[in-house]
Amino acid sequence: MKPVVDHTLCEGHARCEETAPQVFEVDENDKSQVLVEVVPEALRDRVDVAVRVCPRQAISLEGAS
Amino acid sequence: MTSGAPARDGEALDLDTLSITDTQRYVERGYPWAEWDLLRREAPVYWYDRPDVDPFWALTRYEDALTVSKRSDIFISSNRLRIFPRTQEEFSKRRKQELIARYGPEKARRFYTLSFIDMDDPDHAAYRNLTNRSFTPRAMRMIEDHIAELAEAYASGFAKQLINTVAEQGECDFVHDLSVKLPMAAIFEMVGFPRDDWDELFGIKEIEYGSDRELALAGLTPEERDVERRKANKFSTQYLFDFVEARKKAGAPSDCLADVLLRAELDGRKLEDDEMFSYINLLIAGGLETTRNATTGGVLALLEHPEERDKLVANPELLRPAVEEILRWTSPVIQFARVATEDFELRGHTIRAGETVAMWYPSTNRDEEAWDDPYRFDITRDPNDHLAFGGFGAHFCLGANLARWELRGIFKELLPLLPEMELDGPPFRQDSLHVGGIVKMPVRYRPVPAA
Repeated sequence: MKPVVDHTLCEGHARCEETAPQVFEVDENDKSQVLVEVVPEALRDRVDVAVRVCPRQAISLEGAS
Repeated sequence: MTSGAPARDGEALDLDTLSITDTQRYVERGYPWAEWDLLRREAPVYWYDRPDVDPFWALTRYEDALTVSKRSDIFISSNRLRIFPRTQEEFSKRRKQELIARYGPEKARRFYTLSFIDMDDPDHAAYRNLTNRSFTPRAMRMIEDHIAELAEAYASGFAKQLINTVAEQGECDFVHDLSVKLPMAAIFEMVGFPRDDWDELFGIKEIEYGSDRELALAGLTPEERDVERRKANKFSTQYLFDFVEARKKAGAPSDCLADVLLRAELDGRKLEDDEMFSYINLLIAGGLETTRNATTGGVLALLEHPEERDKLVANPELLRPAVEEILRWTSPVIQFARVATEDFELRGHTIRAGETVAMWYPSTNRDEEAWDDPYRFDITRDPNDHLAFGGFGAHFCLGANLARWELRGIFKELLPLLPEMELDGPPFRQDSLHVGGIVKMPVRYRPVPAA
């Protein structure tokens, strides 16, 4: 499972970074970057929360089971 | 009744007759918590058909507001964005027809659909993206010293006013003497209005955006309210015109929002003047009543919950979660509506194409399915993914971060004052179905009992 951020929607509110800082980081252009290729099992719940609370609903999960 | 608890006055509520759209009820008893509770419990997707409004589906559950907000491809904003009493809707429709008769449909459209809040994607995004980078947490960190400095100045002015209430020497209205100021100052600063103009603009904007009830409370007759509002509108329009001209002459060199918009290009063209005016007016309007009411309602909640107040005063590091709880608790925006463009199934009901859905945000923020003990005011609540800024999706409040920074700034300054403050009579409530809250809240100095 890999999170994908739609940068046409992302506005840099940084809720994802607050929720799962190991997975998301907002760059200097106010766009969230995904830091990992695969989300470790231990962080899946956090990533699910990030997807859910993203103010602009910009995050989706690739290969989500 | 407290600021956020359901009415328990033994009144029997009936789904077929309950009202969530009677503005007089909001004035007299505050938000209709008990009505929303009943709707969530028995009819979370409810066809609300009453004589005083055009009918709509009332959505009162958290999850349903999320669903609709996420599907902005189906639920559009450009048709009917708010529920208003029918008299007010008819007034708007008449005004729309007058504009069309006067300017023709193409030009008239600009008067009522120019703000991106009333648009759908891709137009909405194109306009929104012109300024959204000025409202990110990164942008807020760059101006947080300004916000802190303003918050400190307004809080210390308010403190003096409060002390003056000792021995009945003076009166203090928390709304007028404090809440209104920082939201205006912060957005004026961002837009680029010169500080020398602020004091005059404060007075004008309070009238321009003030509800009928506020102006009535200020002692104005209906005729005077009309006259004053027209005068304020005229002043504002001229001020904005002159201001934009001045920015153009200066070459729009700065980071202020006016300059950002003057330099912006939309599909390879510059914004028209009237687009600029509507844009700036939306940025101003969006942050005034909302943040003001979160401030007033937050203080009221803390006064009503002294144990939470004491916890916050003793632990200022709780400001951040406290502000989120204040936002959930006060939910200043009561509702936004959308119109379905195709049939949509929701909890076993079919929303037909062309029908309106309205999301009642305060109710979503008390939804028992989404919150533990939703009627408990808890400044340490975590997680706290409230919908005070609307559901997550395309139209999520652009100014959410600004509001958060303002509220953290002002409550930080208010901390030492909170134990020394008490209500000096009941608060006066707003008569709006859209942004609710408190229009006047008399407070007085309370000598702190010696430890």
